[in-house]
Amino acid sequence: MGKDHEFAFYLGCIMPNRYPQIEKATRFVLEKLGYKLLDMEKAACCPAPGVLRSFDKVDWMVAAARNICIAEKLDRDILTVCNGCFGTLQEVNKHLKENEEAREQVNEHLKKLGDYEYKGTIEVKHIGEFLGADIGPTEIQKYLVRKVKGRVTVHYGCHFLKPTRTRQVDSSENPVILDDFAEAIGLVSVDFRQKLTCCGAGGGIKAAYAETSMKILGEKMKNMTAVQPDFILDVCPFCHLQFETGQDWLNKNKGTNYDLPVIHISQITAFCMGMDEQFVGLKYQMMGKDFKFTPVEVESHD
Amino acid sequence: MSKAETNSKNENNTRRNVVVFMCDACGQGAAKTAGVARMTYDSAIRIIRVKCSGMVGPIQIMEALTNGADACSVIGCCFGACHFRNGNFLSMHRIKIMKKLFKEMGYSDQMINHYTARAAEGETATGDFEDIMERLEAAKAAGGTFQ
Amino acid sequence: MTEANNVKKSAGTSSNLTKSQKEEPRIGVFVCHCGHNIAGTVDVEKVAQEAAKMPNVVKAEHYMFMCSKQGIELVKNSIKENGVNRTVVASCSKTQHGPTFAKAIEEEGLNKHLHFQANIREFCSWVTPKSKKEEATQKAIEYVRAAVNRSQKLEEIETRKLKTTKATLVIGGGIAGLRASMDIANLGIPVYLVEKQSSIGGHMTQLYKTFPTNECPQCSISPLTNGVANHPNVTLWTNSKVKSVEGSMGNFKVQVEHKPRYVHDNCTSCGECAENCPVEIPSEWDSGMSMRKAIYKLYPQAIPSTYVRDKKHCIECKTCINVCPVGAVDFSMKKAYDTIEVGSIVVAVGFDEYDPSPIEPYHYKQPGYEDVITQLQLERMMNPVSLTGSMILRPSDGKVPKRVVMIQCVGSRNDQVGYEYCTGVCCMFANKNAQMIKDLSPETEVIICYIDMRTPGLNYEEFYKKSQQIGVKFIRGRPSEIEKDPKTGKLHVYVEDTLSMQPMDLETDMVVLSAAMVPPKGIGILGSALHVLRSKEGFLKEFHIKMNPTQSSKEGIYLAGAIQGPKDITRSVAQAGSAAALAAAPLVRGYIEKEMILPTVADNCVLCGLCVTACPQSALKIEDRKVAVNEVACKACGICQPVCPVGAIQVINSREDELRDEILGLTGGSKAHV
Repeated sequence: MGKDHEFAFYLGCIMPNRYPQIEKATRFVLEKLGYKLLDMEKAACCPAPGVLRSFDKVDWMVAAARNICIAEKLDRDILTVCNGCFGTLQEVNKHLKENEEAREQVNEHLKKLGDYEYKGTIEVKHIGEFLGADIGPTEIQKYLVRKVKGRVTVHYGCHFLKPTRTRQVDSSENPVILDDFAEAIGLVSVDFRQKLTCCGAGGGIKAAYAETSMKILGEKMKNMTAVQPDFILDVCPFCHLQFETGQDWLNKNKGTNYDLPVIHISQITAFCMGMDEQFVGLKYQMMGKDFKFTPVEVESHD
Repeated sequence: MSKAETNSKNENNTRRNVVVFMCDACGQGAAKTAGVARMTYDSAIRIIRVKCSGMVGPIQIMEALTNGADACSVIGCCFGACHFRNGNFLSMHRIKIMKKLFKEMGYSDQMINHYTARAAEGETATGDFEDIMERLEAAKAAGGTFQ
Repeated sequence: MTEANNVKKSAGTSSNLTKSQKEEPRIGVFVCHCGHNIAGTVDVEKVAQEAAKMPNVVKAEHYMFMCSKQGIELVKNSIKENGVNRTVVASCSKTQHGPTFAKAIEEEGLNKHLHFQANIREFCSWVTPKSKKEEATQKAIEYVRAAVNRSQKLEEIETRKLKTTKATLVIGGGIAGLRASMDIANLGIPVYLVEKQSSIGGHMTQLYKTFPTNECPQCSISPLTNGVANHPNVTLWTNSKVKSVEGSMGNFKVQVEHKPRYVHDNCTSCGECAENCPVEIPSEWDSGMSMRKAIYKLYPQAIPSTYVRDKKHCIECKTCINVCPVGAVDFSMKKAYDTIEVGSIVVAVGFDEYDPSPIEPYHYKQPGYEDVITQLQLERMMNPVSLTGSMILRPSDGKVPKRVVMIQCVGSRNDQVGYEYCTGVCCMFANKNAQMIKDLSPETEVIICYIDMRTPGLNYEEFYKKSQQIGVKFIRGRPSEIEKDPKTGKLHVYVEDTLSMQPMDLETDMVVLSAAMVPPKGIGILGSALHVLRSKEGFLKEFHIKMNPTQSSKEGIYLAGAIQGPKDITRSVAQAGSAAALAAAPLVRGYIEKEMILPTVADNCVLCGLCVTACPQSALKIEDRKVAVNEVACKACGICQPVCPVGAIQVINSREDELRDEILGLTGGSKAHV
């Protein structure tokens, strides 16, 4: 779990470009937990586990391996806050560790890109697993300055847990890891219909089949709002983007009236660990601009 | 007697001589099924029927290898199907240890092998026979055989 | 026949040489053309010529068809006229015609083990291309030489008649076990029927009705349960388990463990104890559809008709002891053991219903999903003395469901969870239960979600048609998920109707899962005790899937019913009859014939005990500073032979020196050590 309490921080694409507040919150949380986040210089797009992988699996593996090599050079595990990046990096890392033929093939290509050689020395970690299991709902209590009261619909997304054989984080049919964590910081995780379906963004759907993407999101919004949550909790900037822009599109095109705030786990955890609410950055998001958390003060632990 | 002796001693003659012990159940059953289906294989293969592959010990294998056989293998039932519970396991482990010994002594460990076969499937026998011959050729090429 | 009679100390000193060991071998070699089968590739004349030159061969011939009357005459004549006392026939396989020639020489007074078969057809002519005649012929000569070498040292083997114990053990008191017990007992053979539950009857008694006639199974089985329990030849032991099994066909020794009932046999079944017992537990027999007490009778028609105490849940208030009018309740009863001797065993331990909990999307047994039940639970609900009084009601709120969705292939036909095989019975019992629901609750809609509808054989397709006619609906699709709407509390079954290619969201009140028939819990332990093989799914493996589906992998142990693979009652009963016949055969005859191929132990034995450990039949033991061979249990597998560090234990007719002779015959190497 992070050698010497340090991680190679993999930023991905959407977070640095669209949601810098998620990055700030992540850095806040890790620092408070006593971890240092190292920059991965020359890291590029993961690349996406849906589109690029289906076009050319080898190129996809090579590009991902190059990113992993950067972390290997730093000799630190990768921390990512995105389902998509996790999907690619964790899977390629595992595959190349176990498959000698693939490893040799990838290393052949990597040589052409520079001083890169995949060695299989590090692990890839997702913030959801880091907070939900490695730190865990009990340990996190020590660091909480306040809890938050509220009803939340938890969105696991796709690549965080699946395929179960590869990820081995939690059951993909009946997961509890994020719900348990949400409850640990004071929230009530509300059950809703079709909880484990896709948000509709990934796999190239949002780009190529925009209408279908919105249909899928529409269903999700219907099921979520039916149980009246205060906000949506996610663990992926792409799902985050989908919920944000999707609600907006549905309001404009389908006559709905959605305004459900979309919060990434880093944002809410940072707030509970003492980060100023203004840095949660809701006013920079599309939905729930005026939403304010309902904090519950917690006895300090020393 | 004489013709067979030249078989193994004559260096120009590349005809090989391979002894394969096959158990009465799946081993020879597979060979018989292969025969009925007219599947052909290298004529070097000579089959000895034993009640159970567990009956074959290091002495039998060495006797084969030191009396003209270029390779010697044992074919028994699939693991879990041995009619005598675990004879096939005993044979497999024996041969594993013998391979280690051969290697340590500087010989090839591909002259001996343990295989499993299924009585109803002839190709499980012929496939094993092919494998035996391939490994034997590799061993010969590497100069690690007894002859 | 006790073990002592069957165990003989080994011999092996020179004063005990058999006739065959003392005389000079005079070998007759017969090479078969087998039409073109052999002669087309192998120069059989040449093989015969070479054979004539081999040591101790006094006659070498070739003939067109050795297995024909004339061919066999050739062999016989050689014995009569040429004094041949060992025969080698080089033709087809040992399995095919080995016995033919063995029998022929026996008719001429020679021991049949003095024949050796060389296979130059399946192992030679058929597997060598016709372009390689020289190689084929050479190989055939080597096979014949190996056979001749072996022939030199063959010894006579006695075929002994071993007395069998006239008794059979039947494990399992369900429909298959009961049928087998009855059939065997009716032949005059004593039967020990061992049943682990406190009553016989098995799963059949749990059913409400049976297909395809929709009859009541209690009524059908009752004559059998009573018949077996009262049969003079049957010793019925319930609450009992088989602990260990030793021996082999005709002579098994079995240890049976009896769990204490805590109720003596003078119980009148009045039920006072249960009425007054303060402890209530969900009834396992009723699949949780009713409650039982800590002292209880398994079900009303249980046989034996006595009560039994569940020690685990009993709080020892002793009320039952006080209220029992005949003082039958006794907490001090202990486990008891019986050791019995039987000649054959029938295993009829049945199956368990698959527990669908691992299929997470179906949420079976999870809180909030009480209305997702299995077919066995539905059967118990429909039964007239259930908590619901035979009404179909939702377990969560007791309301009558307006719609019931049945899901087929739960735990079957699945390569991710559960088992790959098709149970083959669920399509029928789902149809039956659907018909029963329509009968008991006509307003309830029933939908069956299936992958295929498998109703083969007479009356079964017609039964399926009947379901359709009375309005049962069918959707061809395997549901992906059962979800509870948190707002409405209704269950939603998501399924794609693959015929109209439409995804569907079925709102429903109750879901019934058609769970697979799986191997019963504890079969691993029983299978190990019996030393029988199991299939990869865990059922007990039959000897041959086509030609002998009733015998297990071990002689003398037979399988009946679902333990050999999921099947319905009809097929279970049919197989039970087969098992009974096979189990009875050696007992009725009174003996089995065993070829006494045994190991001998020479004087250089160092008593290390390795052979004793290695023997898979546990046929060896050290007694009086010698290795003793259980002549009945030994199977001549030869596994003891290579483990001996000094080569003391050798199996007759396949000793290490004999195997060496065979090797030399094939390789042609010199006899001197390299």
